[in-house]
Amino acid sequence: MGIDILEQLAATEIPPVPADFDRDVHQRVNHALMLAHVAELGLRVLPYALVHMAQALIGLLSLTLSGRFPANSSTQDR
Amino acid sequence: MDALLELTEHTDEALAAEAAREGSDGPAFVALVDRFRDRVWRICFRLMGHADDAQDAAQEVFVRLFLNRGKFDGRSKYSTWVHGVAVRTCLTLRRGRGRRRRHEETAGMAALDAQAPERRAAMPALSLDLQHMLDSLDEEDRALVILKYSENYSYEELAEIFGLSESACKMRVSRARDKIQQKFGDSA
Repeated sequence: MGIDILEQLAATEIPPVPADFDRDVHQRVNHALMLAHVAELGLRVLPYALVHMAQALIGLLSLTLSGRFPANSSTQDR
Repeated sequence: MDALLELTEHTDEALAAEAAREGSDGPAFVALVDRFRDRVWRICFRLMGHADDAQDAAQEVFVRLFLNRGKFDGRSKYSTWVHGVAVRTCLTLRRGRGRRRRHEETAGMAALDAQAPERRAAMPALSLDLQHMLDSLDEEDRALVILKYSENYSYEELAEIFGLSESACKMRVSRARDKIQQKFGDSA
């Protein structure tokens, strides 16, 4: 019967965990961690740094050309 | 050494919280791998049906556990959460493998077919009949039946792992059995 044969599942032998399993896990985890760090650098850190650097350059240019600091929210509040 | 000894006395949940604070696979995560290695391996081998695929799947499970180590919210036991991640990872890999195989077959790549008998022959003690029966089920029903019959999971555990109600699990296992009975009743 089809159901009886399902009972064979429990009798299936499970081979032991491969000897180099932990080392492979460690390598894959570190590879994934490195990819995550590279992605964060490319998608968050670099754009953030570039935006702030561009703002500083624009401010410098603006000061050079007009002789005035660009107004921003913090100076307007004062 | 003392730190490692201390970690072995921690509960799974305490170790998981400690691992979430680690920046890489530090002592707490290594202790979790050590604690769950065999159980994850068993699930992956049962569901993937082949040692090479099981090894790939089990490693992927631990990578996912590591990347999502901060997302365990403690609503269930950590072991149940790990089992759920293992099952979902295997299902994802099997579905991907199935799609890839169909794609390769339609593209006329005979190499995979030629490998298939060898791969099946490498499955220890799992008869072709049984393999064929299980493959006739959809992936999730197949996983439910395998965990129910081979690992003797309770319906309560299956419900938590698969995110279903207990009655839904019972019904799906029962339907899967009926399907096998209808399809293979005479030959099995």
